[in-house]
Amino acid sequence: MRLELGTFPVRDVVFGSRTRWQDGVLEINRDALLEEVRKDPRLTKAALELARPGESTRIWPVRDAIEPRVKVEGPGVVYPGIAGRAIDTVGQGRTHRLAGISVVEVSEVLPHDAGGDFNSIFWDMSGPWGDVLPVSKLINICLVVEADPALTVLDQNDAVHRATLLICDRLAETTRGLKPPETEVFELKPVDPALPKVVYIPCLHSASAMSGNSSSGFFCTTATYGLSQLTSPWVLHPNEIIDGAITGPYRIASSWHIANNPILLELYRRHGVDVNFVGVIAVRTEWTTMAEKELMCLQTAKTAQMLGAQGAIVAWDAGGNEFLEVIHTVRACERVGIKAILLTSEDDPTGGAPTLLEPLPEADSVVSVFIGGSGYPGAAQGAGNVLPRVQRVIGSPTRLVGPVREEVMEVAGPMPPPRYNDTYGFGRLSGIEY
Amino acid sequence: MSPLRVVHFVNQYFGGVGGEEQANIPLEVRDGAVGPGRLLQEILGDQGAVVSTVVCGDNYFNERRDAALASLGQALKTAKPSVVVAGPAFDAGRYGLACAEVCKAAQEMGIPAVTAMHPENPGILTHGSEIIAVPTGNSPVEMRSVLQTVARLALTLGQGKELGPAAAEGYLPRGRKLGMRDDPAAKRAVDMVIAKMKGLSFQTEVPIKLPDRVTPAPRLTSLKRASIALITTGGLVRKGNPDKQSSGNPTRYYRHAVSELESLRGSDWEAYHGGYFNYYVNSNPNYILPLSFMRVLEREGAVGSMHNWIWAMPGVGTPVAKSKRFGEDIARELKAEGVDGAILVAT
Amino acid sequence: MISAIYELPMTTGANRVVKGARIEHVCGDPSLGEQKDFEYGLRITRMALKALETAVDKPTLFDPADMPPAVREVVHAS
Repeated sequence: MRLELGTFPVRDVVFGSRTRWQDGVLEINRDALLEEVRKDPRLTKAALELARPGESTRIWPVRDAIEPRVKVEGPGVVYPGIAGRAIDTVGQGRTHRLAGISVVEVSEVLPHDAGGDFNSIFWDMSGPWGDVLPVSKLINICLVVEADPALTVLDQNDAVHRATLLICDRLAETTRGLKPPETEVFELKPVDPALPKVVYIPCLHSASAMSGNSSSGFFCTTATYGLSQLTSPWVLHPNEIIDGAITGPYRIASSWHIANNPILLELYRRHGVDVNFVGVIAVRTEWTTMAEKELMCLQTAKTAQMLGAQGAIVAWDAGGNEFLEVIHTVRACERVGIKAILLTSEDDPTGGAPTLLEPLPEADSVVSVFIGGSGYPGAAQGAGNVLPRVQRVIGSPTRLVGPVREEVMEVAGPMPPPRYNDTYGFGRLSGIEY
Repeated sequence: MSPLRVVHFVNQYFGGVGGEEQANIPLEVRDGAVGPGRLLQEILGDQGAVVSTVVCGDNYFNERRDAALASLGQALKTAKPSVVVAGPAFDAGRYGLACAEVCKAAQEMGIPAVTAMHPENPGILTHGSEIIAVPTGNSPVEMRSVLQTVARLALTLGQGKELGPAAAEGYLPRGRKLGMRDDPAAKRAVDMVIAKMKGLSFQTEVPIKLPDRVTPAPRLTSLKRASIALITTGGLVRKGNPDKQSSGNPTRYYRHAVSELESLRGSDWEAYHGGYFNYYVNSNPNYILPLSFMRVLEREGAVGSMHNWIWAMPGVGTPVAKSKRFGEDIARELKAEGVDGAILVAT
Repeated sequence: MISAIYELPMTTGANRVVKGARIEHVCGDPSLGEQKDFEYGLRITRMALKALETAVDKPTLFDPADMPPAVREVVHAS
């Protein structure tokens, strides 16, 4: 598989009479795009607003954010399978991307229909929360969109996500026929056989664990070729992920994060230099019996062996019992001689508690991206680990909080941050001993 | 740069006064370095000066703590050190405790302090999260190498600089907190996997910390006369959640009276828990709190009785320290209420 | 402790751990139909009592499938 990724940097976004990219400026015909979005009768609201880095702006609720990409050569479409898109295998040919922006899905639509799981993520474009988010450095094109509440949650999810993808497609389409200012070729060429072989194992939370629904409809969660339910592990070429084969958010990790995946890119760029990147195994997590969990791990280790892996980087996107699949994958790999690294956030260490849910002796090589219980650099300086007031809110001005979500909180006001994580290793925050 | 002023704390033995029989000597201050302090001075060279040594009997410090600390405070006010060094205490328990207290007292006065002792010294077990302590073995045989690390840390602290992470600097970790590393995590992960595959040395960012073991309670010898209580972390609430219990990381647990109930019914109870699909429990709450089954076993005579109260909370997202407190509180209540055994269902 | 993901409590210090059916329905299985679902839950609970009666010196797993056949006959109460 050979993929050329052409990058069109965007240093400014303006609303204007046309939709086009020229010399780093993305002009958007807002009315024309929204007219097209509004053709879906399921939608009750659709608006586009811009959020720029450094602004005192808060975006709430953020369900997902997607980088506009388009396949200009080669089979399939970017972000395959999700919300009814074609499922052809991607990863070949040429794909264009608009860099420095994302299309943000801002909507009150619930992630899924089982209850108990609510939208919880917001972004600040500046301030202590903005400082820790890679996405606050982007110009964020926010689609504030709502669907008819009389529809099923699945249907509402489908409607708003299709709208977001439509905007992405139209924006990315502006680059078709243009020569990309930057191009990178992604190909796992044969390399020196002495280089150590590494497999990348991202573990993905699955919707069916929480909603009990194994339908193929779109829940607001991470999907592989559009499927977000529990399935056996997926063997993927990294190019497929660059073309968006894993997409959809889970908590703070959005489609943008996954497509710009630093672990994947780091391995790819060092392929032939000091590693041999042999492939990706995506593990769906949150199976609900011990046998099912363990089965996934053993099969993943076997698959890694079949790929020739000598080492593995295991990452995960969640918090909770799915950690068992993650840590048991580390264990299963180690037991067959594959050296495994785990990239994870840590739990609250108060009282000397272990900071991993199930601390196994095989987890002896861990990269930490966060630790609970001590706030984080900027917010900790504020009163009670609370983020400061902002001047502008994109999305809903209020949110429901409290144990039974009865209290109304002003979004612009001081607000505790969402649960932080850095699933794919963008940043330098870490748990450290002192 | 003039040498940093150092005050050194030792016990009666290292202070050259005597052994156990002198453990009651009160705190006294000597000029300059005494005993191992002389080796410390040698290692510090011209970067540090042990201006005085505080000597105190192990028993005096531990039994007359207030008096000892008062005298210590006076000594430090007089000597005005940039840093305090206590010990090394190795595995001497009373000495280790005294060293730890000396460090804490100095820190409270705004003077950084460093000590050294065995990781299982009571000084560490009691105060480890609050002091900088270099780990040692049992024997003063390693005095020189320990003092070398102590001296390095003392100079860093005395110069007002921040210490690096515990593992890198050679002191026992006090705890973990959020910090910044030099490289992004993705790069660190790839570097680490390469090092591991090649058999090169590397440092994990999360040292393995295994959970505490708990001594098992002895078995129940007369189940047929025993009172058994049911507990769940599956987020059981009365239907409609009138208590307004949260769906995770609760501030408290709730107990419910069940003496009249033969079974938990979906019309009266439900699950409110953000970590699993609540649907099945909503139709049959006995799935997470086996009340209906216990009634059968009671009638059968397989068990003495089911306790009249049940305990419930949503376990998801709850920090370990809080969970521990909940457990201890519930255990106390169970014991007070004459319960012999408990069954806890987790989701 | 009754848990469907029983390795976790055993690693984290629980000494008497009974295998539960599934996280969403720990003491039983709705797919078995009402009668067998109830029998399953009863068997799990019996096993929990047996665990309380058993001396252990470390985390020990108790499998309801190991209950002897005789006790699987149920006085069904609904």
